Amino acid sequence: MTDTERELALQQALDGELDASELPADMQDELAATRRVVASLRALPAADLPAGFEARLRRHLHQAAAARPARGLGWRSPWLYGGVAAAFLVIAAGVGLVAVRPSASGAKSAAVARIAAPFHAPLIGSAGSAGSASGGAASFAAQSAAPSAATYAAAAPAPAASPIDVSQRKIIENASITVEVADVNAAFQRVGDLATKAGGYIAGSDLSRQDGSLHASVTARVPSGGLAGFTQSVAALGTVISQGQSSNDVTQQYIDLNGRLQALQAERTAYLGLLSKASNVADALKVQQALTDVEAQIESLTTQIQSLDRLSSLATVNVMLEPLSAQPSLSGNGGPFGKRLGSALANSWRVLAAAGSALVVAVVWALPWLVLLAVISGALFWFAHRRRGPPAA
Amino acid sequence: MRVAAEADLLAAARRGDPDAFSALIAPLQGRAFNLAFRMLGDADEAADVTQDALIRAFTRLRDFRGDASFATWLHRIVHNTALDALRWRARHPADRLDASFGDGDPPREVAATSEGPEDAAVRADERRAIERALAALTPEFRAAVVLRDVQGLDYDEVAVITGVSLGTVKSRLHRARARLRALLTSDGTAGPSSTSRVVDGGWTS
Repeated sequence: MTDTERELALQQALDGELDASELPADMQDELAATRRVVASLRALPAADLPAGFEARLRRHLHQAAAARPARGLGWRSPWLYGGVAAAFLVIAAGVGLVAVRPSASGAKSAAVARIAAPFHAPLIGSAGSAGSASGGAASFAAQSAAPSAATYAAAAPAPAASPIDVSQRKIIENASITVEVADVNAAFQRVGDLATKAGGYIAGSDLSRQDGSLHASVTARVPSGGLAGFTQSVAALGTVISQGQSSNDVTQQYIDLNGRLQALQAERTAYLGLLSKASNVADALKVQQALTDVEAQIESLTTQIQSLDRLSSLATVNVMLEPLSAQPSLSGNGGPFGKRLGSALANSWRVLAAAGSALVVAVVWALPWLVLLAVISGALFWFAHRRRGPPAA
Repeated sequence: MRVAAEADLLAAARRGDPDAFSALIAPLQGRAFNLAFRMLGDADEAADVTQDALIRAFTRLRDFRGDASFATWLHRIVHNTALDALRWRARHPADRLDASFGDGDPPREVAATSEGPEDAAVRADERRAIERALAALTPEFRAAVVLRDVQGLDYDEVAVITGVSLGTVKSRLHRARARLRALLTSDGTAGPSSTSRVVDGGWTS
């Protein structure tokens, strides 16, 4: 008989499922001893509840019942913890935004959002299912776009605000525009004509064939005053894909250069005076050397000033001319049926891939926030559910 | 009729009625207290644990799905609360000045003493011996014998209350009884002749 069998037999004998006489002789003592143990366990008297137990319990139960409404129906619900944590995050983010940009006015924010919108619209549109994450992305994008947009906005009204300075200020303007045109070659010629008409010239151009279609790139120099008109007429050539403008105010640099030039010219006049007074050849040679250095510096400064003059008098415009992209139309009014099917599938796949990658970007963007959310939720959950220590004896 | 009354009380207690809950646990709280008392060996601590467990049961009544009987569910909470208290006690031995098991005032006993004073003394000695032996068991083994032998519950109920399988319950019972047997025999309490030794407190927990 194994230990397990003995254990089972003993238990069955104790439970009355097995007659005691069926147990082997060597187990009779064990059975009797165990029966004595069980009997004395059963004989243990039941203890009465301590005095006042029920009254105390009733009081505590009423307290617990009174506390219940505050704990609410879904106090244990994880959604509640998530919600509290999310609310906390939103408030924290709002406080942070206000602290970072105290001067942000409503109108400016709206303008910024409008500027940011075209760039982020595809992301938001395709990642709509990401819910609050995409909304957060929009506000984040608006915020990140704020500084550049602000400088852009500041550059434009500045001349209007101080018209007296316009002629004296030295501003280097750069613009770039990408236009989709039906005939790249014709548009290429037209850009040259427009530059000439605006009083400028073509500084460089490039016409190349890629993927079976012509692409052109033109660098035009036009007078600053004619920049707006020139870009408008270039934009009218086709559909504008992208357009940008930047300016660099070099007035301070220009003033510094002129100041240094004047100082050096004064220095040269002084050296010329010394040279005429030189009594010996050695002195004359020394003065001549110094004079040569000063004149070299004057030359360098003059070149820089001229360069600034040239750059600020003419704006640089980079014009990119792109052929009309072959838009795969869903209706497919051209081409054989198979090709239309193929392009439809490719188109659909491209949109799907774009949406997928946008969704991944949105999720990755939201990841740190979700981790933060989880940590705060967990802390709240722990705090609400932490074990009360048993009462001290 | 009784079942219907219990269901009504349960529904009212679920809605947060403390009086309905009091009525619901009235027939059960004595047994609940005895479970805690036999597991902890201290009447005051057992009262605190029982109260704690019953309030916990009231606030978590929504978790009771009726898989087991209400009594079993309540016993499970008391059992778990008592185990928590024992573990807490094991971690904080310094916090308990009266750490030895079975000390303190014995609770009032229900058993009527119609026997002679000598018999009563022998019975009291026997009781103390078995209480001390119980105290020497690990909490899990003690819970098994208390539920099965002291309280007389089914194996199934014991399994639900302790949260282990039926096989584990039987195995624990077997080993716990064997340990008690050994403790009582080595202590010499089997016969009345050695009673005095036990009264002196031959061993401690």
